[in-house]
Amino acid sequence: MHSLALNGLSGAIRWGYHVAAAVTAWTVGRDDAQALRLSGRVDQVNTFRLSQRPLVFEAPHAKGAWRWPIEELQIRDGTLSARLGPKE
Amino acid sequence: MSVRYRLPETTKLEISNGDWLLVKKRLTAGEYQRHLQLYLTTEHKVDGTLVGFSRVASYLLDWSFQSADGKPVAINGLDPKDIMTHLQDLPVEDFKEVLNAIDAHIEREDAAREAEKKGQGGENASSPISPSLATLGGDMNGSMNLTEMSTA
Repeated sequence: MHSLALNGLSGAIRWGYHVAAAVTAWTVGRDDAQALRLSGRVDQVNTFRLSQRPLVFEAPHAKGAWRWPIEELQIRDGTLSARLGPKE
Repeated sequence: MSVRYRLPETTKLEISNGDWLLVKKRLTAGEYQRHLQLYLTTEHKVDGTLVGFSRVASYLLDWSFQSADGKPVAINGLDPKDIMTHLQDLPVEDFKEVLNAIDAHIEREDAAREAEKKGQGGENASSPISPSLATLGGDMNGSMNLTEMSTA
């Protein structure tokens, strides 16, 4: 990961307006190939919604929320790793 | 075989004074179940006075409404039950405008779905889960169409 990264305590993976999973302790940064990567912990997973596409990672901030499309997603033992597309 | 699951889409409805409502395009079965639950009493009887509130709360995701001090009234992400309490504090005429806008939206979506079914060979297509939410009484005095309950 690059040294420049966004961190947050809470966020969500959404399928449309539905929450597919709650995300905690997340970080968005760039990997060695300069791809945007999301890591964090997942909670309250809805497996059906997570299996649907497209999925978006939504991170709330003071004036609304940032949203990134999820291009690739892996969840193992409650740990999330995803490749993100450009911020919407 | 046909596509039954849909991306949960939203639509922005423009109403008076430049305000808008962000609503679900269609309800899922689970959202529809929640809508029914929200107007049942603890004795499992229908409280007809809650039908319109429940319908609006089930569709509404966000809005541009502000409180008396000019601050946004945040409803995004709230449970429909909590949205209902926000709706109940609106002036009656404002709630009616929201209700009418959402009922008109439901009618348009029902018509679009019917047209879609006809395009797929229509007459034999299966019935939707809800006969028509738009056929429910849209007033606040307790009138309702019990057909909806029989489909729950």
